[in-house]
Amino acid sequence: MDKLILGRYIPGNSLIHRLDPRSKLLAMVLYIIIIFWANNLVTNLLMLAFTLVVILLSQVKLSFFINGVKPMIGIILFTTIFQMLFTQGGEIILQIWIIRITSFGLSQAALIFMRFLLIILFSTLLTLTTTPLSLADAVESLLKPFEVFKVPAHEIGLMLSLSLRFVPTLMDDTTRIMNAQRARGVDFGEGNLVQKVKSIIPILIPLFASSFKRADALAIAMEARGYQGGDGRTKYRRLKWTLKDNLALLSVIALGALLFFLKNP
Amino acid sequence: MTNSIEVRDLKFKYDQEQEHYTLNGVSFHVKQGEWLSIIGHNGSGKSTTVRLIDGLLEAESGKIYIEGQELTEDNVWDVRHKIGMVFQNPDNQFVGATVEDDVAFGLENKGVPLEEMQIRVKEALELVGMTAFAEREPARLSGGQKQRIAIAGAVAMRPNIIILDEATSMLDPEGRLELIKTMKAIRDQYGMTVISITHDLDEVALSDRVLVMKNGQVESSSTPRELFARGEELLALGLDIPFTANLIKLLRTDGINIKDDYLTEKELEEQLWELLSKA
Amino acid sequence: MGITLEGVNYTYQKGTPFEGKALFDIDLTIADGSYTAFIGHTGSGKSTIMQLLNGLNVPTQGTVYVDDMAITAGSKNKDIKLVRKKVGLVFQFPESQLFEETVLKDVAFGPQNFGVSKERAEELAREKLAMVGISEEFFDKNPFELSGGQMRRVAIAGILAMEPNILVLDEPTAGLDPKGRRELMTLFKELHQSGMTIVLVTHLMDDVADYADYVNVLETGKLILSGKPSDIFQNVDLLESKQLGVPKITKFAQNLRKRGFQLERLPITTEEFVEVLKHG
Repeated sequence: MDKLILGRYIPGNSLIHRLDPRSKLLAMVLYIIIIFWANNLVTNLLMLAFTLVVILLSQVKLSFFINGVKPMIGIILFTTIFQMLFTQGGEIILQIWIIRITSFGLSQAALIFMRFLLIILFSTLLTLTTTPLSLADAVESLLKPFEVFKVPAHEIGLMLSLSLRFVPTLMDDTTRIMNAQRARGVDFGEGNLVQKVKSIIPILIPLFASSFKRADALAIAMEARGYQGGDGRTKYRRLKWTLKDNLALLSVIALGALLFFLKNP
Repeated sequence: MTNSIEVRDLKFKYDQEQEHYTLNGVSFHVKQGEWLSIIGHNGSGKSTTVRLIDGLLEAESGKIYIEGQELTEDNVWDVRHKIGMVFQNPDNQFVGATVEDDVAFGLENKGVPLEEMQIRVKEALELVGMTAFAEREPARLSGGQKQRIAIAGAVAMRPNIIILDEATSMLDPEGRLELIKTMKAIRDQYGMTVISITHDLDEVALSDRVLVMKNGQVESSSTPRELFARGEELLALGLDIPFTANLIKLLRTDGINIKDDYLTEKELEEQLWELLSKA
Repeated sequence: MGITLEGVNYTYQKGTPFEGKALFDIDLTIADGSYTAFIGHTGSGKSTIMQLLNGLNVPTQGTVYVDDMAITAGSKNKDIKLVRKKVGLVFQFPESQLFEETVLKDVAFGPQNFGVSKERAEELAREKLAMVGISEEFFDKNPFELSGGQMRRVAIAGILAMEPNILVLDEPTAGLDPKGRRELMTLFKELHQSGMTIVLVTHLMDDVADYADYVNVLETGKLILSGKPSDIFQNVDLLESKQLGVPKITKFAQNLRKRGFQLERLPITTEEFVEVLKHG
């Protein structure tokens, strides 16, 4: 099984790659909030321009972005067409039988299309330029101040990093178990729905069993290595927030401000 | 010189309802700087014993002393800092997302400051010859490499005692050899006390003393040489019969009389050559 | 019923950016009734060949002949399914394939996938469990309650219950203690003596010398040596240069030979060595 698929991180040394994952994560959150202010041509063009500039700065080939959009194309088109056909208002542009496409419907469809596209492009940008592990670190770090409110930031961070560590291992386990069961005559993906579902059991049960065993052994090993929870722990992996991170956030905020002023009321 | 570890009359059972004790009165000691092998059939209590020593399990009765200090519920975590443990399954003790992360794990737990951590991680990786792999992910390491990282992680804590719980049994012959060589080099350089539970003859041969466990008790304590001379009994004790011991036995049935029941390969080669070149 | 590989090439993940060639022009025969060993490093192609032997994978080029069935790149799963029954494959750490509620059910699982009735499958399960040394008291237990060694034997019984003509074993004794290892190797020897063809993939040269009658040496996807163990192991220096060992006694004898002891052929078992000494 491909080991690169997870996170689809493409190594590189661009400005975007070098940003602290926290600023990228926060920028993404802001981006998704302000995109709802882009409700006319000008604001959408602005968003698009901004997004394209960032994509350019990432120095990642466009083909990777297209591959990021491809799996979602079905849902994008479906929603767009749905909007087009069922949102009514303004002049009637086209009428065939009972299907009526109006100008408002068209503009709403275009809007929805843009939003989908932009969000997918931006989040793809995030995963293409940031390793899953650094995103996990970012989440933990951003949640840390909320520990006062009993949010288990350290535990969440550890769960994330352990999961990332074990995903390739578990994928290997799955392949191995599948092969062993195929050697015993199981045919995966063949037969009717009931048969297909039944054939998952000889994979799922051994996988769960071995995962529990792993977790058990891991817990003992962690205890033996002195793990007592988050208190008093130092961190080896450090994130570095620099000036460019401030600038990155500021640019998104500035974009948001512009959108706010230029949007339709 | 205090004993590194002293175990007195340990009794333990996993399930209160089971009748027989997993450990039924185990007593032994390990000297400072000694390399002790523990062998025994599966279920003889070897793993249980070392887990009790590291405080991962609590004995029903008996006492454990680590460097003269009695192991209690209160000082378990402090005592644990003196002991580094390497387990059998290379994957199920690898916590870090990368090699250097994993080596740093124990240091993080202890609250070691960042600069110190970076120095120790670097040192530890050099010690096990894995410096080039610092940023590698575990999924792309062999079993033997993962085990070497486990040793690095233990060594980074600068423990006085290292316990290997069947650390080589899931490795291929190459990985096994690599690991044993690494352990020997570290031991020779730092003089730490080593306890190694094993089924591997080469690992036993490297040790200073062998403890044989049987049915939850210590059956005997001897040097590797004395142990290997026990011949056929070894199978029941959880070991193979050494190749040289087997050869000596067969040579004797053909009139080639080698006096000792066990010799190392080199020694046997010497003796045999002498006998043959005279004939 | 033997297996022949003719001009077999294998490329994994073909057509993707991750594709790689694992086997190059392999020509070999596993003779009917033989005990054939495969030795080589991780990455030498051993696992790939194993999965070609029972049709789990099909060759990218070339043909794999199992009995009267020819497996090629175009072979469809439903046509070659029977091969998986004829050639039983025991993976490394096979205990990880156990999943049924009881030991008996798990062993009976395999045969039923090939159309064997439930009653007959359970009969076979009892038979094979006895053969691997698992007593009746365990038949209704949950497999996860058994020890690691016992689980392994149950897994092997599960393959034997399919009544294969050829048994392919990938490092079957990995992780076992010496007693467990010996018991398993003795079992395979008995199976061989009763007519089963055994294919053993291993790192342990002493096992090859003690049990196999033919050995294939693989390196980075190519077959570099093949023949009788006693012939192959004469090449001590070659094998060592490839970081593949030789039986302990062979190395020992070579050391003696280097000192000046006259030995025409290096022995591969201790018994052979002692015989040689006896007769001068």
